[in-house]
Amino acid sequence: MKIYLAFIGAELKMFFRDRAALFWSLAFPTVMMVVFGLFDFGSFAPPQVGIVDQAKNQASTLLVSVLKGDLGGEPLFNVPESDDADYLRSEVLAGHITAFLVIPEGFGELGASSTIDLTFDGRKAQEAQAARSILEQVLEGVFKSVANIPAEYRVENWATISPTEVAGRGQGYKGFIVPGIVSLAIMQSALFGVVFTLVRLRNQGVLKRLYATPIGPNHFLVGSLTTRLLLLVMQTNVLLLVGILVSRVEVAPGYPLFWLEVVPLIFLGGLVFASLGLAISGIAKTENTAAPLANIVSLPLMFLSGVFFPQTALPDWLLAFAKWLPLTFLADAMRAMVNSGESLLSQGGSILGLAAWAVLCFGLAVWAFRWE
Amino acid sequence: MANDVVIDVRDLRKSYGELVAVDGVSFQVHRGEIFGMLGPNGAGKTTTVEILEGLRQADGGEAFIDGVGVKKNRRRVKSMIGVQLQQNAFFDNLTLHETVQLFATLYGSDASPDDMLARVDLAERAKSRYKHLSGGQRQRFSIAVAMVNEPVAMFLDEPTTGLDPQARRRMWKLIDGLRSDGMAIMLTTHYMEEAEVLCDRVAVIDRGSIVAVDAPQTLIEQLANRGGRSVRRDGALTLEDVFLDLTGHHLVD
Ligand SMILES: Nc1ncnc2c1ncn2[C@@H]1O[C@H](COP(=O)(O)OP(=O)(O)OP(=O)(O)O)[C@@H](O)[C@H]1O
Ligand SMILES: [Mg+2]
Repeated sequence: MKIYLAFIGAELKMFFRDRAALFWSLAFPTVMMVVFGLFDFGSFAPPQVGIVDQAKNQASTLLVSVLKGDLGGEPLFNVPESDDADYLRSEVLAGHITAFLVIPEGFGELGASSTIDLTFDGRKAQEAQAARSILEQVLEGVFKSVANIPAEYRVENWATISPTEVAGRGQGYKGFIVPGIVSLAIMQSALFGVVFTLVRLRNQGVLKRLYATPIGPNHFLVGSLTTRLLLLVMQTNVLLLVGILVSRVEVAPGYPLFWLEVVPLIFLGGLVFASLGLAISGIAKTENTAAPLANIVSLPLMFLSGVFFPQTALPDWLLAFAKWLPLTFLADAMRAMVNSGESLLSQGGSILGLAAWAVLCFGLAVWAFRWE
Repeated sequence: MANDVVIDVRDLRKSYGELVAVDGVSFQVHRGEIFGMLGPNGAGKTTTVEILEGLRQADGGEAFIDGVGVKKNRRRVKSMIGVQLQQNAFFDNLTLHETVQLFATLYGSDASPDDMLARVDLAERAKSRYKHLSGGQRQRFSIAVAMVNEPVAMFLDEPTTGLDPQARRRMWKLIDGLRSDGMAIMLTTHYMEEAEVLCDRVAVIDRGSIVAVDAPQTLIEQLANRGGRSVRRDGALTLEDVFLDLTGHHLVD
């Protein structure tokens, strides 16, 4: 026990004395977070809008087909499967979708003016406004087509849109990117921190000098991993603070326990990637191959795990693979907890996935470890 | 005399694939003795030393440190000895005091860092970071670290390589001082003068085998009896002549 503590103390001291490493571990993700926070990637993708079709007639079917892009062309809305109004409302409230609309009975029948209810998340007002104008344009076209009215005529009062604003927990792209980058930063600094430190120590011969003492590899491995995890907790907290103060996202609204529950999540994610770093630095034949190898591993994770954009943008075959990636589990859980204030326990699937990766990677790290 | 033996090496063998790095090496080092191992690059010095330190596994033979077999008790042996590796290094960003403290903990020793540093004349650098030390200071410092566990045997692999003459002489004084602590000291070196000044006995190793073991003076006398020649203009024989005579096949090749 004394040995572990001695290692942890020594490594913490070294980390804080290595100003450059300290700076980069925080500066890089901060810059990314701020820069990406300036973008509004949400506006490039079709808004996520649920549809409840109560009319189920020719006009409503045509409307839905156009919105979904079933008649060819790009989909105008990204429409979730469910058409249950209560469920869709809860999705809006949870911030998962932007809005949902209800097509009333009798929609499109001649002589009647119907009202389409559009319930949207007030936090995503811009996206909701975009959805509303798309809907207005489509409605007119659909009506003319159903009633055989030539395109150049103007029609009015055929259908109106009645918007209802609800206070959802969606935070737009900022809310997406902040937990994404926090998760990415956990991966990067765990992975590269371990790889660079270990490779340097091995190159210099410090590891071999440690090997000449009566300690076992576990003392060193567990000591290093623990230090890394403590540093990750500090780093994540700083980045979340940047998210709150600079990117102005609300972290875990209404759930102060988040700040406690996020610690085991960081530990688990950090353990996966720090172990992976240990494994890579053990497997790499020379020092010069360790860093490229870490890059080869981290780059696909970075782009496939839903850090910068939702995984729904991936083709199905890739998604089937990407949803099992460790960073996917970490980013999903982090996002649910940060964005919607969900509890750690509600993220059981991701936790289990991360735990499985942790066991695998730690085993690999122990197996691959070399002092020389 | 027999129970004075601290390092006892018997027919040690080690191969790397085809290459036989250590080919049946045997010798003994006694308490309070400084034993030098000389040999050209790649002769197998480091391999031999690191087998004794429990860092590499021998293919054959056995070595005992104070009666403890290295093969089966690597951890135990590591806790009994002091080591300075050929490429010795410590954490750049820890101070000397912190490093000695850390290693004392790793060895389960309660040695005082200040005492250890004082013994190698580095007391006033206690708060300096390792990376700021000069080459000579680093070598002395590594001896301070090697002493934290009050070792029975000390292994120094090329302790003065790369040092200037002043720093080298300072190291000699320090190593000579260890003798009085009753340690058995084994060192490797490429400096014949160092071996002559410091070592009670030297082994000359070539291509994995020991070709001669004796006191430096005795080896020189033996060379004189063989009619060996000096490289010096004044004709005085030195250990260097012995070395070249015993391992000089490279020059002929
Ligand atoms: N890990 C290893 N794998 C393969 N060959 C090795 C290994 N370690 C040493 N050797 C080889 O074994 C031989 C002996 O090497 P060793 O390092 O013991 O020599 P040395 O006498 O210490 O040389 P130097 O004076 O240059 O330090 C050399 O030919 C070396 O290339
Ligand atoms: Mg050597």
